[in-house]
Amino acid sequence: MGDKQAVEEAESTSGRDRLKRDFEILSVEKLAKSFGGLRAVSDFDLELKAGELVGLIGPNGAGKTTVFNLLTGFYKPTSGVIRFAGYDVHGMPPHRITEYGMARTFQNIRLFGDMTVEDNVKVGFHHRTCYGIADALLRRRAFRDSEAEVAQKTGELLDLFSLADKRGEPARSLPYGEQRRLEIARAMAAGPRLLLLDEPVAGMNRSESRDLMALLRRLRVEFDLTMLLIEHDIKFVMDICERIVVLDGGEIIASGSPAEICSNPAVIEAYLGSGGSTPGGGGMNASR
Amino acid sequence: MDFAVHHVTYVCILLMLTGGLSLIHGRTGLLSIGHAGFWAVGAYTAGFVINRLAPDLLAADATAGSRLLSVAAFAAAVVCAMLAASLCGLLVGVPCLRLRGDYLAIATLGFSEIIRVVIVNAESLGGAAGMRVPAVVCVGDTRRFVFAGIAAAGAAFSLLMVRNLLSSTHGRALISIREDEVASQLLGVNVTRYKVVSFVFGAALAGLAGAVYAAYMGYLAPREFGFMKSVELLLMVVLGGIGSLTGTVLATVALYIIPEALRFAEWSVPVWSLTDAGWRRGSVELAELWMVVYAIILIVMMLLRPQGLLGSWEISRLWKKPNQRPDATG
Repeated sequence: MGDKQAVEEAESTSGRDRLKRDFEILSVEKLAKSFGGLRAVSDFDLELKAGELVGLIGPNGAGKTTVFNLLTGFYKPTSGVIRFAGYDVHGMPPHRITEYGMARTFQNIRLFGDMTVEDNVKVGFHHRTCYGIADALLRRRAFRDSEAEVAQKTGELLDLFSLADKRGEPARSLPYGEQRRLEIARAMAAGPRLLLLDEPVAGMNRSESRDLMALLRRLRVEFDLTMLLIEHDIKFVMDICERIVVLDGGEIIASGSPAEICSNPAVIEAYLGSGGSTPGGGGMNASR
Repeated sequence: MDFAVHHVTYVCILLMLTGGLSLIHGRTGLLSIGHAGFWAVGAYTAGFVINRLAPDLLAADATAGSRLLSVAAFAAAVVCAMLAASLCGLLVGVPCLRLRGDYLAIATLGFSEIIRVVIVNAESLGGAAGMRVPAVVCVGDTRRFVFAGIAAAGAAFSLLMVRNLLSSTHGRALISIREDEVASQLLGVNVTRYKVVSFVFGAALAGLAGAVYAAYMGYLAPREFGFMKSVELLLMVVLGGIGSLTGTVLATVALYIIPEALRFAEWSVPVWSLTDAGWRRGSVELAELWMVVYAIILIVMMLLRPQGLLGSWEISRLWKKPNQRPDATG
């Protein structure tokens, strides 16, 4: 409880000005994870300033999703430090880290398939709903007020994500693109300051991914969001990200602005082996 | 008529059990085949408390005061039974959190067998011969009606509590664990805590069922709380529809009534058996074939409708519009 209070305090003191560009929301130092003898990630350093939009790219098996799993607490790091929003979150269980303001989406969509669209989003609000089990059983005022508030906020999110008319349908019945959108809406319900997106436009066509890009940009401004995203669609990453980190074999091989990354020989080598065209070329998933 | 009242009471006791189990298995997705164990804990705790507090308060010459005391003893027994059962829920829940699916099922089965074996070997609980529970609340002709009322109230209470829990943020957290434990964890649901909550809650309701059962039957036998009872309860939840409380209620009533009705009807079916003298025609009562019919129903259901009779349909949909906009209500 004490920590929750601390979070609320931090939120109220930093408030809107947490968008200040020098506020470091995430700082990762020397993060490493081994599975048995396999070093999935090693020497991973990353600093995210509030409001930044950073892309994490790299060939298959480079350890991108492992980094996400480490940041969210789903894997325990073998070594290294993760500071999030000023707190050392290293070794905390995932649900606690979520309470500090981190949310993610998944590469292979993980919605609550049999629950309705509305209830999927409502689960996101769970940790911010503060009535107890007894309040629910006895239908006390705290329950009614809180549920009304959650229902209203859910409605707003569904409107924002253009899912309002699907609210009563089971999540599994949605078409693919809408499932992706619902997953982001659900993550937004958790009230994140840092949103981790694992291949948000995978399997989407050009126009769908353009819409999503506009939506992400809008979210970023409206919710003071910091975003870290994994994406194979290089065109998408180059268009939306301000900074790109390239991972290969579990290590950072390059980091910088999209233009710098494009011309970095190490990146070209990692993607295409020695020789070949630039990352903008057909070797990557950019051709659609 | 007397029989009908008995059946109503028994079905209500079953509803308290399946209501709790539908929370554990149906919503949270924890496969438990030891629910009868919680029931046994509740029943024997209540029996023990009543034996201690009200050995023979309701003798023929009972005064109004001792009648009142016997009601108080029953109330105390209910509270103790629910506490003891939920404590067992906690004891089973905590170590079993890392288990899932088949492993959890085996652990819960082990728990209920431990309970049964302890009871069979405990002298103070009557051992294998069973435990007599003195009459409480009331005796005489009205007794069965009073207990039908108590059981109905208990069932209504249980179902209401389950429904209230499920339609809250805590209920959604439970369902999200069944749907995708990983995603649920990463959305801020304390999965560990909610699994324990689910076990404790379901066990408490089983404890309530046990207390009512003990006081109503007046006699407890360990064999009543065996493995098959747990399976029967689980089937009621599964057949009714994993996500539907309405389905659980319907399946509980149906699966209790069908075999009773078959027994009552005394229908028999012809069977042929191979003897030394060739095929011989005999007959078997349909009621005795119930387990076969049961198995066939199960297989057909699993093939045709794996989500259960009602899936996740609830009777409340009849009066609630699914696409109701919440801002219109609030």
